[in-house]
Amino acid sequence: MTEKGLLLGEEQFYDLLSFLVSSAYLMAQGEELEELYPSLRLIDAAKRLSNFALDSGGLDDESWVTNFSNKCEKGLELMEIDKEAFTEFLSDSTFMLAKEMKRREDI
Amino acid sequence: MDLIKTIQERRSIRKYKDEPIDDISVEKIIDAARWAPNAGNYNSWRFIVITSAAQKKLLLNFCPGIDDMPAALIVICAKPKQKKLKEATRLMYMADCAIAAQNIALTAYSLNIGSCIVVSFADKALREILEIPEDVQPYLMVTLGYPGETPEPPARLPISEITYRDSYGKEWVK
Repeated sequence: MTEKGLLLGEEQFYDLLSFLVSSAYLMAQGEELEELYPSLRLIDAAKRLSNFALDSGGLDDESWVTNFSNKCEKGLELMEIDKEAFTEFLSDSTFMLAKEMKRREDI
Repeated sequence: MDLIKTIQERRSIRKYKDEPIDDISVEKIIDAARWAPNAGNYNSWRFIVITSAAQKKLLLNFCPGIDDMPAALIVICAKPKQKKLKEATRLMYMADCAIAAQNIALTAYSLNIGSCIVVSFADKALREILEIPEDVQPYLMVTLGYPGETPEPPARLPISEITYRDSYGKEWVK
């Protein structure tokens, strides 16, 4: 296995993150576990991607991504205990990302 | 252009040429939208036309079903008269937006512009990006651009399978 490395720009990171989170929100179409499970996995992917980005040390602003990753962690736990709160969390996550990406555009 | 031919030949376009649409064409398209039938003639539609490259890119991050950059996007919203909406009223506004979307798609086609009607977007993100007020509801989005593909017509169920006479399930006989 080669160690060529894989470079992901910060803009691509946010693009992929928003794709995952929006897909998670749009796929949550019911209240049953199996209906929400695809969204859960996508949020898990968003959290893992955020943690990879944090571990890389290549982010200009780590605080927002740290906060986002923590929110994903809490969101994942929600599905077991409160499905309505989980779907609300998915919707809020898209808002949170849009706000941050808009802020980054304005810089 | 013959209306029936336009209805039958219009396809949803998901690949676009990198070519802008001029404002005159966009205004023709919006003009057709505002002539759509609408409940109570409330004219509740509000159309947000997005053409700036930065705004389009930001928005598409929250529309995971759109995988090619269109020349323009029209977000069709309703600004209801009522403060609180009953379900039936909400559906009424949604229907108004859907009919306007059809006028948009058909008029675009008559101008050789492709389109695709989209419902798959994260509405809270959309509200934030486009600064849509609380009392305005985005219902649909239409992508627009010069077609970069020529899709084959998909099959449609025959009239006899989807049409009944006088009561549901009773065969349609001419």
